[in-house]
Amino acid sequence: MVSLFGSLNVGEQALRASSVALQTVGQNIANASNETFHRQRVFMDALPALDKVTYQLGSGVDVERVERVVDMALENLIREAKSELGSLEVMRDTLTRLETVLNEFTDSDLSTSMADFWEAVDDFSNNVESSSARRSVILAAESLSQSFAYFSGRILEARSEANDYVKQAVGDINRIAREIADLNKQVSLAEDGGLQPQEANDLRDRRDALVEELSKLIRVKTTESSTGMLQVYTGSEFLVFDTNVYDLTTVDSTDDGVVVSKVVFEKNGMELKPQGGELKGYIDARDTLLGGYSDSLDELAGTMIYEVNRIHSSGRGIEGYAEIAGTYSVSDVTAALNAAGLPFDVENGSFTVNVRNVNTGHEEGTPVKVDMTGTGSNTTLAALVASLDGIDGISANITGDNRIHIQTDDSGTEVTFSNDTSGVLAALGVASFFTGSGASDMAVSSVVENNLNLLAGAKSPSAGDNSNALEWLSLRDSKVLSNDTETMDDYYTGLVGTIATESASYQDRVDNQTVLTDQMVNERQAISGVNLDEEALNLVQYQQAFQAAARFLSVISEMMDVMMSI
Amino acid sequence: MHKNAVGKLTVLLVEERETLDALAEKASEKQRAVVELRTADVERYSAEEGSLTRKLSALEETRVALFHESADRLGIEGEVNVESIAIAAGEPYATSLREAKTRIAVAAARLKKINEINRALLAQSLGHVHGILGLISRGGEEPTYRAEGVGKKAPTRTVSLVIDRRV
Repeated sequence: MVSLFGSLNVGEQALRASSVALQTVGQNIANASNETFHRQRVFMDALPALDKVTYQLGSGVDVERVERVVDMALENLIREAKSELGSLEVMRDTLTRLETVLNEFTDSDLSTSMADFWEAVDDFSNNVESSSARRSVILAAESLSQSFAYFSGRILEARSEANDYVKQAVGDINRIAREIADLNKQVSLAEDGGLQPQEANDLRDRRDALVEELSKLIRVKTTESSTGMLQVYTGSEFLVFDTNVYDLTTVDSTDDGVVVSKVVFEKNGMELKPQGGELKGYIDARDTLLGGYSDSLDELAGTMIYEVNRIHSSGRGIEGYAEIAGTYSVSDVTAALNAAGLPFDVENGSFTVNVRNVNTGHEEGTPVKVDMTGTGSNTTLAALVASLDGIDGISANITGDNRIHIQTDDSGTEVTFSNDTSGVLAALGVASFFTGSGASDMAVSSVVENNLNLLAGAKSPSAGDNSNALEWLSLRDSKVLSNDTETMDDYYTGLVGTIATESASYQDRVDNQTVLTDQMVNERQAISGVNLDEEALNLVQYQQAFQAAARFLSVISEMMDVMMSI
Repeated sequence: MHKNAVGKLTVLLVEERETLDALAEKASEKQRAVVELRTADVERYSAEEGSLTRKLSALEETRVALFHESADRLGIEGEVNVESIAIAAGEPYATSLREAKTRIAVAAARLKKINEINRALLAQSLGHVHGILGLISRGGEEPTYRAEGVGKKAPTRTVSLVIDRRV
């Protein structure tokens, strides 16, 4: 006969199992709108029969475990997809911002400034004696310099912001890693170090959600230990191992005036090079994308400065110089000029120093050789200054900050330069038009700005000579960039075009990756998500079935009372 | 002739016991189906339980008729039950009747226990289901019409009007 204890036991188990099953339904429904929740299902286990008289009555079932409905392979794919998306979105956003900054097709864009500058030079070449034409060249050049400086500044700002995001991402990664490590401890405790068949579903859901959040920041992979702890690593380095967290930190350095933070592991200082996620996006945007465009802008500005200066320094204005100082300093006055830290190269060649008596008009030209053959004694600043100092009518010396300084020996003479095949005058900033070496510091020489007569439109003292202005203008169509394959205009057009193309390309990639990610998330939703309509329908069916099942209970009870007393 | 009625009663009691065991089995299977939320099985077992209950009821009516017939034939006065019939009928019927009665009592007790568990289980399950249904329906929602036919009040508007119907 079934014992009272046995019956009570079966009843208790049935009630408990039923309660767990329905509570699980309730929990699924309560979390229907929780994106990170995984639907749970109950696995029942048949209990051994309590008695084996005629039938195995009362054997019943009990809850073996409540399991999350989760496809870990799909979860990993979603993490990968979100990492990639995070990185692409940062690059897309950066390019979009860059496009806005370049502000093409408006009056204030750089190409308009360049066109205005060439137009002013063109006008100058036709009116070489005109002071208004000279003033126009100065104004257009100032506007061009400001445009370069503006765009360079915006790119530097964007780089600086990207660096701030790098630091922020590192902080977020450390925070999430700590939370995962903490959950590792909780999961392991809840599952008794992996000995319990029942998994800590809600803790695991929270941990998975954190790993997904982490994946958006940095591409990570995970493995689970037998104790239920998750090991999280990026590349071959662990971020989380059991309950230990390997913090990241940043080490600052400066690049082009921008603080650049390198991401390293705090424990050993090893640099982290993320393979995906927003952190990779921010680092790539800062260094490769923005750094690359900043370099390109500097290349364009530097070429403009050097090429204009090279022509300007070999020409002459309405008057020559009584005193002149180079704008660039060398690091070592005894070092060969092409290895002395000048912003521009010096080639093997020569130039002519013209000393002119303004009263008599007599002019004496003295060639100066610049030896950059790489053999023997190459020209140093000290040697060049000595050569110049030896020329009658002028004196030369080196300033305290290692710049060249030349002046005429008496007030009735002036000095000009011509036929510089070495580029040394432009490299030292002698008789230059522009100062600076890149987009950020490009400016019009204050010497020329303050004395328009020094603007060099001629190559000879003859009145009306516009040959230097024409050579200057010819620079517009000269292929001086990209290994002499592109003009400055071509280069800039290419730069803007590349940004637009890359921006469109990244937008496409973001769109495609978004579709891919959404598909996978939808697939996960189909597997792990909760369909409220379906759950509601099930509940109504449970209700009907249970009500039907309760129908004969009273009748049977009454009948059994009778039958036990026959 | 009395032997014929007592023999029939013995056979009937065996059939009643078998029906009780079958009913207990169904009740047990239904219990498992309820726990595992297998609604189709719950409904199927409930229907089968209904058939067996009706059969048991019919057997009971027959048993009552046989009790009366046996009492008349055996001249039993006062309360008629299996024990009084067994005493009156004597051996070899008495032993069979007493054994059948004992087995029925055991089967009935078992079924009663399972039935009590199922009663508690279904009450609890329905409570859960109603609770969850309340979770997914809008909390505190009044029915559209009350039993007395009074309409519910319109809920307080919490969003601003987009269309001004007075225009």
